[in-house]
This record gives sequence, C-alpha cells and structure tokens, in this order.
Amino acid sequence: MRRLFTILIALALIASACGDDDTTATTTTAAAAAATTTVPGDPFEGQVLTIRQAAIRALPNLPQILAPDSPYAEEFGIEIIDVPVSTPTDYVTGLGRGDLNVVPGTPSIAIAGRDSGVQLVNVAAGPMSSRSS
Amino acid sequence: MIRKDMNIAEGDWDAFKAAVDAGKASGNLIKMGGVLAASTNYVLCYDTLVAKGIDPETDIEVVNLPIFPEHPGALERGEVDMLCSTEPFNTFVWDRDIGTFLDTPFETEAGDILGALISTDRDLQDPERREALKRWMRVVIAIMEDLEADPSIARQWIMDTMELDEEAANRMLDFAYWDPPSNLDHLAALANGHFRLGQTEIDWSTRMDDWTDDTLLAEILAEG
Repeated sequence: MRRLFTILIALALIASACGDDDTTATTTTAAAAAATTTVPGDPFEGQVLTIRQAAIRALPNLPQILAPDSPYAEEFGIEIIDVPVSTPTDYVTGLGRGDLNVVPGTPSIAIAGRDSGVQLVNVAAGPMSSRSS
Repeated sequence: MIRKDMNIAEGDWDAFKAAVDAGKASGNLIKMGGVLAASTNYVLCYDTLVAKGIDPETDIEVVNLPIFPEHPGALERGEVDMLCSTEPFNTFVWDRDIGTFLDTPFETEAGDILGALISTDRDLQDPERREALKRWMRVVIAIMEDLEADPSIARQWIMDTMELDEEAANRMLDFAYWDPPSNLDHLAALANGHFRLGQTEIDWSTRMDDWTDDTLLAEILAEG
C-alpha cells in the first residue's frame, strides 16, 4: 500500500513536471481502481484522482494531517499530496496561485481572501456528517 | 487566557472587569494580545468583550501578535496581560503555569465558529477537481469519525508531537473540535464582524453565496 502510494505521488509529480501548464490539475490513473469505493454517479469511477492540500501542524487539523497516509485515501480513490506551509498566509497564496486545492482553516481566511480578490470558498458550509446535520 | 498573577478565577468576569477598570483609572491599560488580521478568533474575542461591557477600543490596549506560537512567550514575558489565542497555545500557557483560563468566546452571534475547509471557485467549477474535493472530504469525514469514536488516537498524537503529558493532552482534547461548523447565520455574523472592525472593504455577510458552499457536502450526504 505504502509503495503504491509512493508510486502514485511520483507519477503525479512527474506529470506536473512535464510541461503541464496547470500544475494543480488533478491527475488520474486507473492503477488503484480495484481498491476504490464506488460512489453512484461518480463520472470518474475507476480512476484515482489527486489533490494538493496543506495543513499547518495544529490539533484542529489532525484529520487533514492524517489524511495522506490514511487507508481511507485508497478506499475513496484519492491521492492526497501534502504541501508544507507555515502560516495561514501561505494558504491564501497557495490557493490563489493554484499550488493548492484545499486547506483546513477558519472562515476568516475565505473572507479575507475574497476581500483581496482571491476567489476562496468555505466548502464546509453545511453539515459535515449525518451526525452533525 | 490571563496572566496568572492577576489572580482571576475562570469565568469571573466581574473580577476581570474590575481589573480593566483599575487599569483604565491608573492609565495602565490591560494589554490583550491576539492575531488581528483575518482572524476568526479576534472577532469572537472582540465581540465577547463588548458583550461583557468592555470596549476593546478604549478600555484595554490591543496588541497585535500575528504569530500564534509566539503567544505563550509574550504572556510569560509580560508583554501582554491576556491572550485571545487558540489551541494548542492555550494549553501551553496552562501547562507552563503562566496563565489561567478566563472563558471561551462562543456566546456571540457568530457562535462557536472556529473551523472551515477552504478551496477555490476554480476547484469547485472543474468537474474533475470537484470530484477530487468530494473524495478528499470523504476521507476527512471518515477520519473525523474515527477520532470521535476513539479519543486515544488524538491523545497519543498530542503526547507524541507536543511532548505533553496525558493530563495536558486531555485538557487540549476538551477544547478540540473536528467538525467545521455549518451554521450560515454564524458565518454571516462573522463576516459582518470583520466588516464592522474595518478589516474588509465589503460586508461579505451580504454576499454569502460568493464565499460559502454547501452543495459539496450536500452531494456527499446524498450519495451516502
């Protein structure tokens, strides 16, 4: 599993280094298709998608810190690349430049980013689970 | 968190207000340190002080401490008398016995907002990236449920990565949260708070659809 994960990361990095203008374009591969959980209506069924996250090493971000190496990543067919950052400002910069696809943070990051012209969105503006709905 | 030698017990706002009044009378204002810019924490603290009858503009001195990890040291060195901070730094203050906990700032119209998951219009609008976001959120939700079901996972992580003992780890877990909040009224109050404090050009509470999205989670829940 770990080896497969490493190979997938390597493939994603190679793909992004090979002249792809959009470095954050999600990269697909069918390599781990058999391991993924099928979700009805998923147009990318059978493909492993890639996402680039950043998570400052703080307790509230523990789910995201654990995510890249979690068995759930393989289960749901997603390769999670963790990009090191130091401050919330790095979040805004990374998302704005397209180096990142998603980060955990606070709503104020989305508000401040939006106010400065970076098109950020809080995608957790809904019940996070059936338990919290 | 307030300086321990102020001898104010947890939740004793009357004693804190008396200290604020004394500081104002002597010309030696109580100094509150916090991250001011783009900070959910600061809006919550600001409005909590106002609700308690304390005007942050005139009754205390607000000191910008833009880097959270520097908060415990600033309190320890006496550069500020209190902190509007967050975890794990509040627990560091408690663990080092340099401050005491006054209150959480969760009684304002913004509620107990702390977390969010931030992406971009670009990612939401591209079908493949949107699907990647959904899968990522499924992973995060599954881990959140594991953390809630078995607190020992987070406790051990705290002890290993922060070199804290079990008592401190448990205290930190008391203030831990995994679910980013969902209440749009709270989010609107927060956005309006930033505008009231002059931190944004636009009152984003009037344009919620621009910066909040509930469709992704709705799709995940609908798909089971």
